Amino acid sequence: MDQSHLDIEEHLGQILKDYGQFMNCELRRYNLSRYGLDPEDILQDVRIRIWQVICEKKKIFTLSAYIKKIISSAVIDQLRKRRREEGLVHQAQQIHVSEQKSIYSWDTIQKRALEETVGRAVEKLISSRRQVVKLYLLGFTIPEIAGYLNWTHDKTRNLLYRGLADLKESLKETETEHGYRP
Amino acid sequence: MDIDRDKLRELYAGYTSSKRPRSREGCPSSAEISMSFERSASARRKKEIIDHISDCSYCREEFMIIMEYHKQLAESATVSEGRPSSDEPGTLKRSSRLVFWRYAGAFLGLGIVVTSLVILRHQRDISTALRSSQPRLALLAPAAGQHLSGPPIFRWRALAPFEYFVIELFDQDLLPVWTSDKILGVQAQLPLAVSAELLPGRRYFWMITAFSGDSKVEESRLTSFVIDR
Repeated sequence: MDQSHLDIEEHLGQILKDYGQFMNCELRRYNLSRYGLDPEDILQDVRIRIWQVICEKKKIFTLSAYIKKIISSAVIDQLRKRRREEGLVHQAQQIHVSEQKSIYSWDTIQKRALEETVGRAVEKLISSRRQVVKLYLLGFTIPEIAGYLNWTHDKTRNLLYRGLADLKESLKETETEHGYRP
Repeated sequence: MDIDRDKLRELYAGYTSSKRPRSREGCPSSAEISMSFERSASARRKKEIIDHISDCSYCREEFMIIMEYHKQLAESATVSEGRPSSDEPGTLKRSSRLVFWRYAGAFLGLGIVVTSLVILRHQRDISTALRSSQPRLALLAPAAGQHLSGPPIFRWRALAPFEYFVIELFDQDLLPVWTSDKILGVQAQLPLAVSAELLPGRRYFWMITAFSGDSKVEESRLTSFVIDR
């Protein structure tokens, strides 16, 4: 093993020693077990990326901030990898389920039509209100939405209420034939 | 307001859960999703991500993971406010330094008062940019999301006097691609050798760090561009 390789190994070892606890703390914030992800897989991905940076002699000004970003990116990449691996199994299961029960019941069709109508009505909202309403209907709270969009709590709440009011109006105009009453 | 919000949420969840793209080619990269949570991410980019996650249940799940992480981070920051973080390296050394500075606080306060008096006395010399809360570095080119058919020429505007700048270029996974030497002006071209290695169809991120002396003074936001085929 030549000297340059040993230097890289030593440098990587030092970074992992200095930032090992930090990386573990960051990973704990992701609740990985809920998504079936192994922290060790993500740590391995992070080690590889740091190793690449050292090999290419790239300069990173704030290593802790950089590590946070690559952990975040590695979590999503692992989730996508897991999905790809499970994709074939899931596809087979879907075919089996669709053979077992009818998906064309009247209730299902009605419900799907209503869902489509709500979805289309949301898309018709003006841009600023649409963003807030979408995130709200997807289950996020006002503080979470405000934090993501870099808005104040009041601005977010006001746009949400106006957006929901617009949505109600839109649904009133188009939904009475489905029996939906907002 | 008499809208049944729970019902709306249920219907919208049903609408979005049925949306699964056949392939992930049109999905933003993992770095783009996580970068959209940064304060420096553009409003337009955030809007694109929100519109996408309502059409893609896969990306929505990934978005929720990052949102949950930021929520945890915010809760940890609230709980440990005023106390040093136990996560980052060097905590023990930092704690003993804090004890030292607590006893030296009176002298530090006196120094601040004296400095303030000096600054007030030379008030005309302080530029508007120093008093302003606006960012002092504006990235001009390549603009956010711009498509380039040739080697990038980076241009920026500095609203305060800095000694030199450094450009950093990252790929779509935020791996470093190139870091410039010290640049004294506000324009620089990517070296041809590096430009030749950029892949067509890929998104790259770039940012500027401004220095005075050997101290980093300001960092710009991250902006992206795409290399055309």
